[in-house]
Amino acid sequence: MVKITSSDNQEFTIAKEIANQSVLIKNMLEDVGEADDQPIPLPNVSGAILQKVIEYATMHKDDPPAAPEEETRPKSSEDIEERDKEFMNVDQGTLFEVILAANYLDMKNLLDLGCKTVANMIKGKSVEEIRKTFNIVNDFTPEEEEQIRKENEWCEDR
Amino acid sequence: METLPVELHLQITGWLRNPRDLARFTASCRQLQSLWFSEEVWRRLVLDVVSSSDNHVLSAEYNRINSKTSKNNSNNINRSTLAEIMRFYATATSIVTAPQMNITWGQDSQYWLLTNDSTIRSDVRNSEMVAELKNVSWLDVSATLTHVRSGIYVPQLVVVIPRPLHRSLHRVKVSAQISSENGAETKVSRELSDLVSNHVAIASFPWLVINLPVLFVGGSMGGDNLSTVIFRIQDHSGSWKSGLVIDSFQLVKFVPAPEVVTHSGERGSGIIGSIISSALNFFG
Repeated sequence: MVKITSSDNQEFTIAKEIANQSVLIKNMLEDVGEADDQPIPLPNVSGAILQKVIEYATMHKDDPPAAPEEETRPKSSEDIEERDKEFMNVDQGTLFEVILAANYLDMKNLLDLGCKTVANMIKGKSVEEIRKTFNIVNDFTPEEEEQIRKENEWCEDR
Repeated sequence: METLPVELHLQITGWLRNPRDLARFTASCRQLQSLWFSEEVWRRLVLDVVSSSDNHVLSAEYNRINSKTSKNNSNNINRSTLAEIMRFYATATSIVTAPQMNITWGQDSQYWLLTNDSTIRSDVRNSEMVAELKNVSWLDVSATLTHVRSGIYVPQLVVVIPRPLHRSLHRVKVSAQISSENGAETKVSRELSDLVSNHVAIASFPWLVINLPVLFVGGSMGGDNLSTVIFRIQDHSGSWKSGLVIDSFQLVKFVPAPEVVTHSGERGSGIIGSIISSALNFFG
């Protein structure tokens, strides 16, 4: 078993096979060796998010190891397992924190899942709808806005 | 969104395969706009589009533009090249090639032969593999294009037709039908003999690009719904038919010539003018 602690000092004890899905933790474990049972501090991840990440890692602990990087066309963002879709059915704040955590912990599958989920929220939306969806503040001047509108004329349907 | 570091924005955009989505996303604020100018995003986008194996037209266009604009540094895709390709992409065709079609009796080479016939090469061909009709009585070919955006399109069939057109092929129906989510259906349909009769001999011989009447996709105002267009070639009459060679169906976005629409009072005349007028009326 492996002990990890979150930024808010919550301690989690998890199976090694689950911990190893994070390349960051895996490398740390290899560095410190088996004997050490000091908890691994993860100062960039809160307890709530770590809980979520562990949930994901547990769900996927029996997955076959990823095939080596191929030069094939990358998969589509629509290509998401049903259980993962459900897992990602969270508020936007959590979604972004999970993405950040996956990036920090170096968990490629979870990172891809998070990014696909965001991409799917962007697809087919107008600029205004995208701003609304993600609370993005329009910080362009009217002149810049007009310029962009012109440049983007090709992507409007009419 | 703004709190994410740039490398994660890049990761997210990596999943946006449609340049329109990417353009709109990066137009939402200053920080994201910088992605639009990043070499990485564009390179990936273009390579993605160009490498899609079923899109010969686009890759040909890419090569043409690329060879024209960057003779000296062929490895360096520059932005104006990319912008030109994207403009092409926006107006270009959506294509279904022969291997992707649903052909009745298509598995049996006695009836249909899927062939890579290089003796009938041509610039208008989209596909390496073409479907050659050997002999059938029940002729039924369908092809589906999904995710078609609203717009005005010219449905086209790229095909070799034996001349003179054999009697048995006269009444073969060629059609394009939109099926949208709200169930509304529009269909344009013509008999092969009508389609071919007004075709003069052209440079692409023996390949013909046959136009069906203009198709209006996605009528709802400002709607961004994606529609599905189904092409069909059909003749269920008893006679035996042969000689057709099918390359592809394509939807070409209808782009009115700019000078024709600049004056709102006078929108040109003749067929083009009336098509534009009806199109403008159609879209409000």
